[in-house]
Amino acid sequence: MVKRMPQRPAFYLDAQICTGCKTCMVACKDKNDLPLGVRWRRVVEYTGGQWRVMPDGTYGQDVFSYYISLSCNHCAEPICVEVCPTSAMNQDENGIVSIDPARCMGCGYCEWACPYSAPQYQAGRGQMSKCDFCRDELKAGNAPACVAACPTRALDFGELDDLQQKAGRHQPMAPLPDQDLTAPGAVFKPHKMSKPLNSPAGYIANPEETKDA
Amino acid sequence: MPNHGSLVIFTLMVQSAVGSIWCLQIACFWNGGRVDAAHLEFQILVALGLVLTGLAAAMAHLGRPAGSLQAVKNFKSSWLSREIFSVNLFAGLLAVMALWAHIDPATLTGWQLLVGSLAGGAVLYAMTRVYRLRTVPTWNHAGTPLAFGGSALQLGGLLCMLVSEIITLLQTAGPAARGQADLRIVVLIAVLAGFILKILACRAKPSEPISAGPFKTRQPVLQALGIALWAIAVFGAGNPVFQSLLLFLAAVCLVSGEIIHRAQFYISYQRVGL
Repeated sequence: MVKRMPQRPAFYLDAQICTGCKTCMVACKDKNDLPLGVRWRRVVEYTGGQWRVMPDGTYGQDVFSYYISLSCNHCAEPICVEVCPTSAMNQDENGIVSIDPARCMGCGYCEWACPYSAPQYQAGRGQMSKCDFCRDELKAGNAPACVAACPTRALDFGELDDLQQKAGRHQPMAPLPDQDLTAPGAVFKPHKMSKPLNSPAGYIANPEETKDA
Repeated sequence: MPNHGSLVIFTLMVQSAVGSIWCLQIACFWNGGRVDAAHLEFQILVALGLVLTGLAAAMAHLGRPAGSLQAVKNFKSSWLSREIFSVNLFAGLLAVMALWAHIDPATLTGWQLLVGSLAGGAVLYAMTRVYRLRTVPTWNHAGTPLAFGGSALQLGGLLCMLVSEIITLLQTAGPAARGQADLRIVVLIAVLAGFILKILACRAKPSEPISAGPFKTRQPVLQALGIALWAIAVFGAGNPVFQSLLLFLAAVCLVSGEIIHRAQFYISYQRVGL
């Protein structure tokens, strides 16, 4: 897949067709040579429900499960850029948020602040690290590694405005945070079973794969 | 993520330095603009030492401490940058005042100390704002400034009292005695005010998502015990040795209560989202 580099690139996830295979995670780790525990892209499994006794005495269930593949959303109001004391975290003219390794002192304050766990501490370097949207691939007209690897094409990228039009207006889904906090530059098409924002109906079933490094 | 031990040390040391300068400032005005010269110099030096030790501890939690020289570059939007700037400014002012107190203590009055007190206030405000992140509801509430202010008053008062005791032991009783008595009252008021702020902070906090276990109950018990011992030492103990022992026990109770409280604060971290 070859594309012109978007002016304002954004990720797009169709949660309805994401199978949670984690190929995107593996491709990201491989492309960026990430050490153990550092995951610039993560796949969150949100699940819930149980078996219930129905009025007629039979058993029914309302079990649900869906996956959200998530990396840095390159927000329009990135809280990591706002709080970084050294200005190591910066946003370029295309809206891509990245870290300048010459400036990062590894204080971890961006990690405290980001509601998507995007900045991750890389102990070997003593610095924070994060997704840079595979900027080198974008400039070469290629898709980011995670998008290129997705076998179901649930994960895509493109111009933010185009993706928002394509997806239409959707209510944010759990367990994502309120979009008003950082104005994320990513578009999520919900799963048919997805629960509304702040819903207590489910839980993250794979915290060991998504927690901070 | 590095552990938070060094941040516990940094915040408590800097807050105690700020509180001690506040107590000294109030004691100066209370006592007609004067405080014992030896106490003044020693107190400022101790506060400076605490701030510098705190800064060294804070550097220990960085992945790349050499990069800390760039930590004030985002002054325009980062409260962490502003905190680091204000702590360094506070340290610089303390160094100037310590030098002043050493060279010409007679001219260093409460009005000059006011600059240091205001800088200390700026430090405390910036420190509070660092933790009031809109994505971290467990910290982003009125309890954080109340708790930090309470810690500054309690630990600052404690520090002021200990310095006063050391100076009294080193000096013979003389004209400074009245000033010392005033200082004790100021310090006791500060410690009590700090305790009240801590109670208010607990009430302002939203329900805790993470249980702090037995430490949750030990912290207020230790602090109340510390204040009770302190009050007995100040008002009830006639024997100087017994008084010093009580003050030492009070200090142990208050400092351990503060460490537990601050550790709980960091454990309570929970942000929205993932």
